[in-house]
Amino acid sequence: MSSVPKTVVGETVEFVGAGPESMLLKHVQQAAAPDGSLIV
Amino acid sequence: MALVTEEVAAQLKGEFAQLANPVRLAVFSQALADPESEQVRRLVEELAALDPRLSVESYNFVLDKEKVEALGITRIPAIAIMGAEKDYGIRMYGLPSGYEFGTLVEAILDVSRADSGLSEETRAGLKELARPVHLQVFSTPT
Repeated sequence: MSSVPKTVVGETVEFVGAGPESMLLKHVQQAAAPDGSLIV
Repeated sequence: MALVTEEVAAQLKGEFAQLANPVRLAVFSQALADPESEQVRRLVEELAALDPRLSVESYNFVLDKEKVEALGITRIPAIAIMGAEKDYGIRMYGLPSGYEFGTLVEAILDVSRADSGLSEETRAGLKELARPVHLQVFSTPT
């Protein structure tokens, strides 16, 4: 880990820094999808 | 010597005056393996003493395995912040110092209100999730 705050969603999606609520929802939906893939 | 100074305690009592419902705090430490985790236990116990609507349960990470497993605790020090009737799955790991102390207080207030503050649009989106999702936020104790 090189910077914070870092959010890891469902072990497969991750992002650094703050963002709007809609962005977090998008990441959570992607992590919950059967084909959720890694985003950095 | 108390970890929470009288000045901070007075401020916290003002914050906790906003508590809408009781909140349960379960703290997990282990003095032998992680002496610093005992500081977290002391801190949470001092917090809980500031308002009768706050209660604390202190557990040993090694000896209280049943509780560790029941609450899904994976490392120490850990704090589970739960409503009187419902566990929302909120866990804080590490020493809640600096900005993270404010995060702990906010989490306590959020659980008390039983309201995450999320928008209706986000709530609707989350209701449609096909499976549980584990969220982790990493920060520094600054």
